[in-house]
Amino acid sequence: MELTFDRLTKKFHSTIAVDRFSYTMSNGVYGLLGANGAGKTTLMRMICTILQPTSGEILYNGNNIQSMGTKYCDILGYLPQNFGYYPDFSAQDFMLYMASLKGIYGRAALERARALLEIVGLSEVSGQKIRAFSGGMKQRLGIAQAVLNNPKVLVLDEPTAGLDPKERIRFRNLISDLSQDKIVILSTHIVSDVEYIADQILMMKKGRLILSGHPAELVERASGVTWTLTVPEQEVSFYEKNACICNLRHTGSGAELRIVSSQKPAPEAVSVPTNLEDLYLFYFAEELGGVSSHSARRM
Amino acid sequence: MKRNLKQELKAFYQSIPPMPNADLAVQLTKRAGRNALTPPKNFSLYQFIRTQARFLNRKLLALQLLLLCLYALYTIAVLQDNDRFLLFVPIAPLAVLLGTGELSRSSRYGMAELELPAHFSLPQILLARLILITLVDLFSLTCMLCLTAMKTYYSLGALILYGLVPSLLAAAGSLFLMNRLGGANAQYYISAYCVSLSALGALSINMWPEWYFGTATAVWVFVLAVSIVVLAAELYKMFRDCSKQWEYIRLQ
Repeated sequence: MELTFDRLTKKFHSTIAVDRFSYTMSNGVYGLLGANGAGKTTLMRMICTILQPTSGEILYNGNNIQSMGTKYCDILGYLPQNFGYYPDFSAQDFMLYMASLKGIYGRAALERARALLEIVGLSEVSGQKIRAFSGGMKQRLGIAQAVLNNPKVLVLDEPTAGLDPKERIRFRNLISDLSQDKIVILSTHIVSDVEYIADQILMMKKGRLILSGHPAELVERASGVTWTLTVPEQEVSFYEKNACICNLRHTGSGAELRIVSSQKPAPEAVSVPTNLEDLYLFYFAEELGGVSSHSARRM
Repeated sequence: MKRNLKQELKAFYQSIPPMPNADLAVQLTKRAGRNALTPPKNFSLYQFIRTQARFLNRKLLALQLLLLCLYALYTIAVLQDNDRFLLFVPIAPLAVLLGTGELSRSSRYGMAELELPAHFSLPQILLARLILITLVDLFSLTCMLCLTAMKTYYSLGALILYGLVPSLLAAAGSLFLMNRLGGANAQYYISAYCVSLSALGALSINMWPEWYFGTATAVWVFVLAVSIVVLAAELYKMFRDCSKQWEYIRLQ
């Protein structure tokens, strides 16, 4: 099973949302990382055939997904970033409704809906209206509907947005459990969401794929860009202006800074192992409103 | 065994992460996954439309029923024989109004993005809803027509004409507004339009009775023909636009 992106491009008037994206996916979990506006959602919508590419194509086992029609829809599961619901629906109604859209009906739909509500821990509230659900419950319901048709390609757009840490971890584990024998594409800008469950991480910036690989491999590749440094309190503002600080901790004797920079930020700075969050910051510091990690000055 | 599985699953997924036993997770998921079903391939559009009936907004059905009951109650219990009884004319646009919300439901509640990549396309979903609300409206209007026929001297043909014209004008105008304005706001404009049409109908019965003379039939037929043409054009536009998928949703 393969999902191939061949020079995929999407333009909205003069704005290029996705720019010549090429990659091949096989079974596994793919974490799509990027700042807001990096083109993740546009890419996901193209994978789900909601948006048509301006140029390039997406192939599923060698077939263009646009020309596969309902055959592709039958192997697709999708959880959009902000999905709505009909206020008069209960969780079970919602599941049965989504099942009917996916071509599952009758007893089969009911059994599948019940089994999935059980798996996501919503069976006891299956009769309750969705409007009474918490954010985490809605997201779990969202993932349950996405796997109703036992999809081969599961697309989850920012599934942990707005969840508290406990719900996020539970949700992460759930995705991991449901991901067997599937291509799971998970977009997020929360690094820890994909750090432990993704087999491959793809980083997007301004519509382009800038980096891809196994999390450990990426971290290994980026070794030597993270530094720690203890400075007096009065020097903190100087470093804030001139370096990309990913962590700041005030101690009794000053402030301990964790800096991401391709250059050693100060003679007394000590190199420390890079983690995925550091790597993310290394590439996206400017998008996140910080000083570019590449231009951090030697002091 | 099923109860045990349910209890184990519940206990497992409600436990505080990290998961206590990864092997158990795999085992439970596989056991639950045995119920995984291959979607039936022979689910026809007809079956789909029939299935959608249970997902129609129940409030809409309740309101239609309430309108019909009130009409029946007024006609049977309150109204004396009245040659000029045509309450049917102002009620028809209101009956249509109740169904229009169903067509813009997906975009109003943000469901369109979930519905788009499904086996059944958005035009098919809209078609199912359109057929179902038309059936509900037809049933409701037919009942009102029969009740009206019991109390008035107008011929059945004339009554059908006086019922069809406001209904089709309401439907065509509502679709015209929906296709151009989109979103939640469109529903306000549609409501205002249908209520205005209803008020015009009520006024016409009392203030311009000559509209309902036999000599005005040609005008009614002409308006009927125009409303059918507009309705057909707006339906065509709606299905053509929504087949563009995301572009259509963004407009909503």
